[in-house]
Amino acid sequence: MSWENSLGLLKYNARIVCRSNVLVSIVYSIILPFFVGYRLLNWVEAARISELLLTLPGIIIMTSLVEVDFSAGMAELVSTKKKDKGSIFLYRILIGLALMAVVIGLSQGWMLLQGSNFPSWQFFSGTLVTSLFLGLLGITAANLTGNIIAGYLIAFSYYLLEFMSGGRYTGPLYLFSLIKGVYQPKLYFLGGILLLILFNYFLLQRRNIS
Amino acid sequence: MQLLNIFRMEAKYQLKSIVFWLFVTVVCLFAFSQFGLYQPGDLSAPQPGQERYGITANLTPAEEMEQIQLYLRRDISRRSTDRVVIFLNKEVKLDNDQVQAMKDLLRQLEEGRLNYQQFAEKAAALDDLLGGNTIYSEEQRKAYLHRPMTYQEAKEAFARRAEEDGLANAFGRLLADYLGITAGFFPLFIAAFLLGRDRRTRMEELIKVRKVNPIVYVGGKFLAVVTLLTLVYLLFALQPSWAFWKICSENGWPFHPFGFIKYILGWITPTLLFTVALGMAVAELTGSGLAAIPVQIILWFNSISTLKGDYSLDKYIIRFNTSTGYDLYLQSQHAIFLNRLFYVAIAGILVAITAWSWKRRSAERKRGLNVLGEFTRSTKI
Repeated sequence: MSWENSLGLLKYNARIVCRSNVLVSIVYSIILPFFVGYRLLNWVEAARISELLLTLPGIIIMTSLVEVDFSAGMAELVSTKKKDKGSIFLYRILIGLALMAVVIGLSQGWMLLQGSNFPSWQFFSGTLVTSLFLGLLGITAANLTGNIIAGYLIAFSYYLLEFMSGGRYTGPLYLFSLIKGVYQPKLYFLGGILLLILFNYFLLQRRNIS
Repeated sequence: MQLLNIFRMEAKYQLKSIVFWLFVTVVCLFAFSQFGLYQPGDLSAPQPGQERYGITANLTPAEEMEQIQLYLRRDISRRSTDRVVIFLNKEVKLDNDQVQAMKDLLRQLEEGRLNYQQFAEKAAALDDLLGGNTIYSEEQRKAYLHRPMTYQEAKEAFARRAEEDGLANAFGRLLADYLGITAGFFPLFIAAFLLGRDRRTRMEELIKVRKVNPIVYVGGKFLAVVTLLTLVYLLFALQPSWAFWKICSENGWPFHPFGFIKYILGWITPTLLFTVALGMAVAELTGSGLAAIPVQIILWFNSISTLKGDYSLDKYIIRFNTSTGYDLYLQSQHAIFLNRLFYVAIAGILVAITAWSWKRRSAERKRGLNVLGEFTRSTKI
């Protein structure tokens, strides 16, 4: 694909996927500090807020990225033209990644500006990984079941499981490891993310109409 | 009649829906991982010579005032206190006025110049001054202050739980606590997309032709979902009821067959009513099922933040995270009852609002508006 084509496709996709999901996430990020307070947080508090609260919009954004494919009206329109479902998926991941980076980055930036203290790059990347992972869980579930709500349900369930059990069942692969001050698991999750992306890419490519 | 038809159609649909069954799976996993699987022989009375007998929150006024002194000294020396915000424990720095208030209270306590009533008032006032949700508030004092139990106390407490309270009741409350956590959140995935589905699959045209009353339409679907969900949750009472029946008969303790069922019906069903009604209402009012998620998340975090004892009207989930809280339960019965009535009423109001909004939306569609909206919100479910 030529450069113009790729950019055009990216912009087109950005337009169709950015709807209420983005609005909801932005509103959420804006009102969150009023509920929780970002002033003078130590690293544990910042970790809890980042891992537990800032990752939630990620589930909503990422999973709804594939919503368009499931729409009764749009599916025919889009499917007949889509010869490259896998690549479109990748574009959408990029968009999702950008959106989440914005939400997390701005929120954590605001924390720092309010005098909080935590290792910024590690927390930013770590939270982004958590968010991406949960989002990809949702996408994978949605693609496998053909039902986007199933995607949300699975992603939120995994979140809840980790939240309530505090890592009892996942041990070294605790999703919210930043709260325990451990960064290493994020690298494993990054690997998991790449695996899920590949899996979804090939899964969708197989559904191409030639 | 129409209501019954809508009810049946919706119930049949849900039973074939993958989301519904995923929901059931998730709740199963959660219930078994948190509550566990009880087997006959799992429980026995405490024996003398054990190292620990657990803790009790049953402090005398004097003990409570003593313990608060420890907290005051700690907070004064580090010039900060802990506030619980949502589920976070935030350490908040104190200003001079707050530290002074603490020092005053501490001095009065040390000099023994306060009776319990005065202490309670001053502690609550201090909590207000600190912004609320600190250990000095009545809720947290009652919930978090504790001391270890003696063997005698443990033995009596156990006898009380097994004989007076009844194990099925005690553990029934605990099970309802865990199930309530799921009931206050996951049903929204079914509820928020309930009405939009017909709209998207053009069922709506079919329905409108028959001139359905919006309340009947919305209410029928609502009742179908709530009934199914209640039945699902009631199923969770089966295994524990059987297990505790065995445990009680082995040890000669009284068994209350409705122990588990009544708490699920009494505590969880209103939570379900509210969660489903709210999900439907938010989705219908905003036009986006997704919007229901953050709304529910915020309310949910707020409701699950206290483990027990707080049944104020902002808590739509009844939390009772203990199998030993018989006294607390007796004290809280009225509050819980009123809370449940409140949420059933709210659910009714939300259903009415949803019906009104649905009617308006259909009218708009008829006039040809919002057509594009349909495409951007379409989802195959």
